[in-house]
Amino acid sequence: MEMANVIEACNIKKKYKGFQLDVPKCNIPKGFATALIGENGAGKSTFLNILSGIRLDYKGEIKYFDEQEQNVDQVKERLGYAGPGNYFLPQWSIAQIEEVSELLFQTFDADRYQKLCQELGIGGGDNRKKVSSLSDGNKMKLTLAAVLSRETQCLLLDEPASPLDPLMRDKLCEMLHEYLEEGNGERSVVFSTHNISDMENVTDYCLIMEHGNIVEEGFVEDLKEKYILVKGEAKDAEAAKSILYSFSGNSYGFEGICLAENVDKLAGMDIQLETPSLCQISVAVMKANTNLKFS
Amino acid sequence: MRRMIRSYLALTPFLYRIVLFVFIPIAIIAMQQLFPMEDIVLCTFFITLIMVFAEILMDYWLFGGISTRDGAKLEYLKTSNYGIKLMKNALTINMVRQLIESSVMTIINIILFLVLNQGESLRGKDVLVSTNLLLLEYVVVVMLLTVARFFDGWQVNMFISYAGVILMLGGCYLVGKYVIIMFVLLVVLALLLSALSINIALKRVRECYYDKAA
Repeated sequence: MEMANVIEACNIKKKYKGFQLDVPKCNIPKGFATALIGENGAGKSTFLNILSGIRLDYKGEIKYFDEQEQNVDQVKERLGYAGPGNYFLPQWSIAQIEEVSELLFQTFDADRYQKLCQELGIGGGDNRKKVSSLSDGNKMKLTLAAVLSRETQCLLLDEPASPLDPLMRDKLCEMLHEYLEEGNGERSVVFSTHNISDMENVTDYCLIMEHGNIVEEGFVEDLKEKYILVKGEAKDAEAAKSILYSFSGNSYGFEGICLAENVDKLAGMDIQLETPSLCQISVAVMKANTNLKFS
Repeated sequence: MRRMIRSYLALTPFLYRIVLFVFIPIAIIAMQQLFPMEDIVLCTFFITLIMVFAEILMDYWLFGGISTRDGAKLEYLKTSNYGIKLMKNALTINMVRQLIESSVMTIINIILFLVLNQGESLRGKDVLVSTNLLLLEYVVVVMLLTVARFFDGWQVNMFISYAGVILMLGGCYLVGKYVIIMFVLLVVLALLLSALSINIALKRVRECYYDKAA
């Protein structure tokens, strides 16, 4: 059975000085949470900005919600983008954001916004507080409150977990779960993150980016079958190194990620095989594709 | 119209409204009473001079730096189809508000002047020159704000407001001497500059969807 996609991007190209985003094809599955993972400068934010329609200078085609003949302006009401940085004007207050949002979005629910602000403890109950006086974490919470107060079908979140404390990250996962569940398969979430471990329990699908390209993608469960975590003793390190996809070792032993198809080549070695976490897979893929030097 | 006013109000902080609609008018009227002017035209000139200064400084609070490409902190507006329209509505209503506020204050002050100076009467030329001064104030403010919004920093607005005062001082001679010609010229300039100012600001807002390096 062919899976429906919430976003289908084709031949997306965008050039900056010294950087080029080049995504020949990217299908984001509908009804799931997709994590966009990659090192700093890999192109995650640029890609999300393009998908959300706040960057328009790119080449390529994007199709939303499996519908024909449309552009991002036709679907903005159904997309909920939240990002760090200059998201709200710094002089706006929490109450003002409510007023502005009511004008900007037809489906904005002021009661839900107030409830979320209270629930997330934004501004300590003072809705006259300005955005500029909030901490980075509270700014992100406010951004999420604004975007979750609307009837959207796809959330595009740029680094939502980064400024949040561990407790709030857990709450974020819970909120995203709820959002997806309430949508009965019609809602999707795409988020970029560096906090892979914290966000793993909400991640269904994963896109790993390096140098503006998608270097690995797939459902987390499939990736966990494709890659295997191998642990072994120091005596086998040299032999294993050439077979493993990623490798790190010390005088006691080694650890690395191996492609499942290559596991047979490790036969005869004293090794332990384990299912890797998404974080371990991501780091291995990033290490294999990065320009950074690792010893 | 209701939506336009809502757009403007949504973008204006509460304190901004208090300062602009309560504090400044009361301060101007109070100063007029403390330092009474000799005639109606002087009275209007005093109001327009203060308003040029106040409008340019206060604008930083509302639209400061919106025409700077990198400084356009407008991501939230960009996520909505109504974002640019909201900005256009707010800019338009702000201009209308400027003209109305200065006019209302001038009318109040003229009435107070006439009440307090029983012997004085309102002459046609005074009304025309006062109208010219109001139009001159509007033109100077709109013109200078179009420039000021290209910079991000209240100091720039402060500097430009001084330039506004100088322009007013220079312009007041012309509006008094060539009353009819200046009236026509200022009406034309007011219309042209209003359209131009909104278009420039919106063009810059639209440009922030694009990168310099692209």
